[in-house]
Amino acid sequence: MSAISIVQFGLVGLSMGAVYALIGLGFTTIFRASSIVNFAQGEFVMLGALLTNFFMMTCLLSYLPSALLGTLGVVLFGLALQVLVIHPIKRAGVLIMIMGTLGASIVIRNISLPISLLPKLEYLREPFVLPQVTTSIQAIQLAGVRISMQRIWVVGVSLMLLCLLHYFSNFTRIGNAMESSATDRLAAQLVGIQTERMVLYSFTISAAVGAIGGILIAPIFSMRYDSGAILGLKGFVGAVLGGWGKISGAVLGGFVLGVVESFCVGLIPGYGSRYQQMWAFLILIGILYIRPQGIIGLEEEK
Amino acid sequence: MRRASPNKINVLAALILGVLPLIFPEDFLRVLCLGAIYSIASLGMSLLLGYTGQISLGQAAFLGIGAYTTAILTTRFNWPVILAFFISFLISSFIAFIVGKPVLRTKGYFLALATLGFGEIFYVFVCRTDPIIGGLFGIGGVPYFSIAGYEFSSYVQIYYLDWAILFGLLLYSQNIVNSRIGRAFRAISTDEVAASATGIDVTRLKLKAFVISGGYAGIAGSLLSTYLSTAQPHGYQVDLSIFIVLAVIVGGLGNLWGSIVATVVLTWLKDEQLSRYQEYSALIYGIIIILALIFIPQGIGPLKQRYISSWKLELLGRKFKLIFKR
Amino acid sequence: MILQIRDLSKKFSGLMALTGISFGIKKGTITALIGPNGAGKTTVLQIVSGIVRASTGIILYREEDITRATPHEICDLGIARTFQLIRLFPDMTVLENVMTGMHTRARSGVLLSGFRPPVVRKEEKWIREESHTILDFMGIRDKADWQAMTLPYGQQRLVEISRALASKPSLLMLDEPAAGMNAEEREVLAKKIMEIGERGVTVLLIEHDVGMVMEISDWIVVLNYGRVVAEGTPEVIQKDSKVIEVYLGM
Repeated sequence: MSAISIVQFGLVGLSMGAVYALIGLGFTTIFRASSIVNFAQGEFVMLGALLTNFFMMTCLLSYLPSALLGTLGVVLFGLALQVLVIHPIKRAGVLIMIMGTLGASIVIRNISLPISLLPKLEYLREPFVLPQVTTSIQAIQLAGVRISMQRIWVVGVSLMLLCLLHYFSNFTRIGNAMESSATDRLAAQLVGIQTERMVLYSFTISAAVGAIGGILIAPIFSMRYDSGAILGLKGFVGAVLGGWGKISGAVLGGFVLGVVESFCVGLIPGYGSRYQQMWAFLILIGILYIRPQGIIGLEEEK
Repeated sequence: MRRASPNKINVLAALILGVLPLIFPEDFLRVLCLGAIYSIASLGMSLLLGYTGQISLGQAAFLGIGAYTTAILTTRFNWPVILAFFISFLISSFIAFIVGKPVLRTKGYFLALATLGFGEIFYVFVCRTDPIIGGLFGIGGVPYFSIAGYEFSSYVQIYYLDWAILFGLLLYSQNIVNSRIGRAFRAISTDEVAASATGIDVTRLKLKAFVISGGYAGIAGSLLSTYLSTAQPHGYQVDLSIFIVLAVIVGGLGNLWGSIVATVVLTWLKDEQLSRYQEYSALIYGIIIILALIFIPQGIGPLKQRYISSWKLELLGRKFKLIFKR
Repeated sequence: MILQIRDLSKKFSGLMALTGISFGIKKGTITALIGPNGAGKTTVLQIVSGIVRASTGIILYREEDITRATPHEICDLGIARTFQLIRLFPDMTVLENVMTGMHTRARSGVLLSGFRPPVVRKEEKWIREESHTILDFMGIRDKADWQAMTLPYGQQRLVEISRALASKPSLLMLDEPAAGMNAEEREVLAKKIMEIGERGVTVLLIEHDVGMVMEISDWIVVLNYGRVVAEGTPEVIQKDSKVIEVYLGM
């Protein structure tokens, strides 16, 4: 357990954490706009990578156009989700919403299966990786620590997206409208903000951000049509860990989760790597025991 | 919540179910055996979700705990099945107690997340642990259920066994529902604050409901492992948890018989009909879930419907009285 | 003094809802808590019943410190309440609501209830009969099998009070019970509250209906902006200049 390996795992954790942060951001954005939790969020991540792969493999487009079209495609899926599934069942309560988005998640996850029956599309069933953003440099060495280029891209693009969103929320008219409608729906409606439209915008943002996250980590971890579910849950865990209801909480929690998970995987002798999918949820149950409101969450008034 | 007359329905159902094996071929019984086993888990979930209003998406894990406990005790330690069965019930109840304590501090979306998380923990654990648990392959060679030498090996025998146990648990559940505890559960589900002010220890009772549902699931899991002769990870994933919750919703929240009927129907749908379509089955399943939620969010025995219709009946009754008075 | 409130304060992120509230309630009396909207009356009730935690202060019930007690513990000790916005259990009948109110007085646990042995059956019967008796006392026995939410508002309030009475409290706290009632219903309510008092139950009444308050209360505590402004018998309060100012200044 050398100092170098600790740093190594920390950096790996940061890049995973960046993705969790993006996913958690997606959850929180939709929640702030509409008070619902979209359990299909993780599918946006998978779909971004899947669609990009499709555009590259079947439409033979190059990386960047494919990624852009892929992201766009996911946004369309996100809007379809809101219009076809979420809006119709909104009034029926939390339970139905959970089941509805879970059902949607099952649908999105399995759409590629029948499609993969078509000629030349069998690859849709298989695990895949996307190309890295830059292929010239594989990794850089810094003080004895090897950092893969793609991971730098992941963290870099994520931070850039977060800055963009921060600017958007606080300095643009639409962003302000979304923030207002998240803070006090009724008041926002009273001043003429169309909160329903804000919900659509929130889905657009969440879908896009999720898709980009998926496109960025697909080169590092292979993705498959069913990879989305777990990622989504972990992103949710991150947002709860950081402090639910706040964008900053989702981002902080995502990064913290990524790092802690990485430490668990790398530094617990014998079991760390074997049970790697489990740590995030143990962390969740732990945080519920110790500090249910999350790291920067407000304690609930009795 | 008083049904037309639970006893009448119970007796009628018992008669019909008791006679079925004499009429239908073994193949048909297969679905009913499986349906009965899953119904046991749905019954527990009905008490937790339908009556106490707690959303748990980790039921599959408790089924798995029951299944694996039975499998391990019978194959690795050669315990008699009936003993393993009881221990499975106790262990799944106990683990439900341990998990429930922290997890039930949350509500709604977060409770769903926490229980999903627990389900994942269980699944990853059994997939990745080889000694005793058998990893991805699981445990095979689980013997048939037997009591004092009598073995339940044919479909007919298993059918009666499963439905008898289901019936016993149903009666138990009906008694709970019609008691002080049942009212307390219902109070918690509609208004926790008022329930608390009325003297109900909400935290404790939620935990009790959670433990009961975990125990029922453990029983179901145990029966499942003897039925399938195996305990494997892939039968106890999120999909099963979603399935059980869906059955309870479709059957009607607050309707015990409804959960059973819905579970049997959904089992038939899923295992018989959908498995034919391979690539399409999961997709169709997801679409069915969404459609079901959009069109029948209140299930086949809707709770609210009943109270509206009984009020209408009341008014109708009074009108009749006025007419007859003349 | 069955209930003593000492130096109670409550801060809600920036707003001082209550400051240094101190008063006592004598056993067997009907004590009213009055004051303009926003004076903090309901907050006091929320804190006494354990739903909201006090920022500072002590609440003594029969000399016992209940400041940190949970709502259900408080009900166990003998304090019951109704809510400003009626909170009946919507999917239950009137009778079931009242039977639920008897939760603390019964003993059948989960395990035993499932088997429904004679002990449990007997207790159920007793719960049912007691509940009918209470509904009878409140004058709504004929509505026992109605769905609670289909009753007229005034009668729903009577159901809520019945539910509170079911736990056999020594202290009954009513939060604006007359709100939404017409004159006839108020008369019935006033009469019922007095009857409840006559049976030895101490009553803490939050009410805006000054007429009713003056008519049935033994003691009145006046609140304004989270502080106690005056205390005394109805006669004294009616003449108190501070109180008149509080009400005229609205």
